[in-house]
Amino acid sequence: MTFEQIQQNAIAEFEALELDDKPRIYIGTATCGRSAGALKIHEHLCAELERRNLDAQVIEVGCIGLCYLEPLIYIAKSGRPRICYSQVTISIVSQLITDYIINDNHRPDLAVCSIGKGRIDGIPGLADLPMFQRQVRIALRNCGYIDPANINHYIACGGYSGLARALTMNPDEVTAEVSKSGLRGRGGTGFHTGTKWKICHDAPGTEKYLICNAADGNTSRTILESDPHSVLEGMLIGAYAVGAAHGYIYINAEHTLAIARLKTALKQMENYMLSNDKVLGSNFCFQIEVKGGAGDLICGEETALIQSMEGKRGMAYPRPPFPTTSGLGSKPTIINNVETWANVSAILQKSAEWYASYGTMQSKGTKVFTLGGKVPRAGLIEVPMGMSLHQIVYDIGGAVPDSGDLKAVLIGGTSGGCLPASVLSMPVDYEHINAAGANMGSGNITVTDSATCMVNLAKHCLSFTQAESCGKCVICREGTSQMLEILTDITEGKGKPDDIELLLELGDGLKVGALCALGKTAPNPVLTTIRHFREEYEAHVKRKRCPAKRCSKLISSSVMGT
Amino acid sequence: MSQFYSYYKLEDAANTSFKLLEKSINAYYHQIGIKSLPIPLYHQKMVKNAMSLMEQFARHRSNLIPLLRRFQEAKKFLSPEAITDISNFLDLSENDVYSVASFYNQFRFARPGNHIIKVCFCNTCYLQGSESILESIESELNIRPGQTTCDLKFSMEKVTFADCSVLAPLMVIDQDVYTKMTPARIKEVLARYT
Repeated sequence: MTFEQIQQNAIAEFEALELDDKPRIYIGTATCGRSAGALKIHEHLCAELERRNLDAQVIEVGCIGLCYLEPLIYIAKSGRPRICYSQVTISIVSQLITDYIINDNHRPDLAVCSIGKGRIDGIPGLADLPMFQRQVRIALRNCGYIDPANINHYIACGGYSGLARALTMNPDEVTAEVSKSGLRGRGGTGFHTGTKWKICHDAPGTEKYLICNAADGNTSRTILESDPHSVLEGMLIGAYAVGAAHGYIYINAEHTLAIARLKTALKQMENYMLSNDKVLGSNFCFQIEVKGGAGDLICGEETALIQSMEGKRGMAYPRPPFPTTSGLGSKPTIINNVETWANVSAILQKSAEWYASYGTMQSKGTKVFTLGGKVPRAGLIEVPMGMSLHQIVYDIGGAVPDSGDLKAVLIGGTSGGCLPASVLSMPVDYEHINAAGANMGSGNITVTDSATCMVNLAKHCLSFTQAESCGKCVICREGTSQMLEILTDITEGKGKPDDIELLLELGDGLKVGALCALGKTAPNPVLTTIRHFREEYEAHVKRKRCPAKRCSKLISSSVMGT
Repeated sequence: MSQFYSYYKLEDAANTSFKLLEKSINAYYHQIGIKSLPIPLYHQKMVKNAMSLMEQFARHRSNLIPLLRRFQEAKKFLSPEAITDISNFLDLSENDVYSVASFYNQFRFARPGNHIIKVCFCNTCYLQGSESILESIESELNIRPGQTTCDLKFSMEKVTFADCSVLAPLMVIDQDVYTKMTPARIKEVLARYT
């Protein structure tokens, strides 16, 4: 079967599904939906349909990004767009079956939006929602829309046409196309993907490996759960460009749903001749294997990841040699994270120019973030590079401006930087984020309110990285534990006057001296909170008070004193 | 010398499969002129159990972490015997296997309780007060993170799920997810488990 035939069949199947007389009920069952109880809803839905003897198709989809509204179900009737209903409970499911499926009343009061072509009165389209208006979805293009367990849905939405296009070009042209798009590694350091591929392609040796790093946070997991094929297609394209014959997906073995979806996807690819020998009838061979690894933070670091894959302690080692020349089994190895691979497939499906039209001069394309904390609209978002933090937090997140409740924004999770509300006009791209002392890597944006003690937050972040430090380099192992000790003293009212300077000195030392990104970024939360919230540290040290009234030892002592 | 050789040969066979072990023992006994000796039953059982866990893995170091996980899934923790079995199978020293297993947070070396309580300490959960959840579990059950109650009913662990935005603070007991936890709910939730 040629790719054109596969594509035609897939489109025919997808269209037949859309036009089928049977109503379709989609349910979001990614991890965010499951934690909110989607599986119980699914069970109840199937039982209810059977009890009432209704003929409807129930399809599981991934996460659409509206995590604050989970569990979500989408109901579609022949030729009409899907209607999304939020925070469904068992009683709402029964109501929807009676009202929409039987009596054709689409219940605008319960609906959030409609998804797909066409409009329904009284319900806004997905793109009109305030949360979606400013988003550009490239890596998340199919998430929540297609069935992740059905390869035909992905192909019908343009999937694998990027691979088909890449196979008509020669490997150097593919690398050039990726270079032209300006795509940079989404794992944090922002190394140009095209350059990395070129180095690996030119490295001596015939045996090369390709690794998809899925151990670096929840955005990776959500993409794999919602649209695994976009990542797998990206890996195939990358393997063709650098000449690799084996690829691995390194994922925390506890993410069982993502692993199950990947395994299903790999089986379907085999049936369509999209992996193993002679991909789509060409001479290109590529095998992908899912490697369930440990869930430690350090394993997101590329050298530690290689060590862990080889069955050793996940400890970073000094570079050079970089993995692109000597990685897994001392062979040239390409490591990119899930989001990067999902972008690669989009670039080849459309074009480098199209991709480069988003973003800023130096940072092209989009970035996926997990927006959380004290914002009303929390979820998974994707914005073009260069959008200001202000727009992300207020326009997308829905925080109320001038309420005075927004204190700081923590970008990059536990190794990120804390920025005060006054610098939110800063655009989000690699240069600005790094200059601000934050970290793009894990793609977490956590908004904090006035009840948060910055010293306590810095202590929490550091206690996490301190526990995760692999212990190989002394400066990280000892530096983080010394800093944590000082911070603990400060929050317990035992701070000394020169502690703040000492923290700055230690933090700067770690930034310069640590071996890997974990150690280099570990002091970020401490350094940025001292930079922007120094008066809070001073209140803890000098007046033995916690302005946010969070540090319990300081509160009780002041009560005792009065 | 030949004795050592056959010993290693025997061990080698034991790692490949139980049946092969039986066969090669018989062959060895035959060689040295003994008809055949029955293998003690407990030993048979032990080797069989360990083999059934290991048989689908290739004997390569890269399978060490998947093997450790497999053993932990079967027994809920890694016993000294499991470490020995794995080290024999992969031809590594026990020390080496233990050094890898103890590096990663997910491996336990003591029997956990029947129910495992996981309290999420991601940034969002922490900001929403997961510390107070932990404290109230600590006072309710009198255990600290990583410990097990005397009656082996509960174990508690501090974890980072990192996708809790609106559900924070999050607590998981076995497979049940408890969202938006408050210290006041702890007692009632724990009472559901027997």
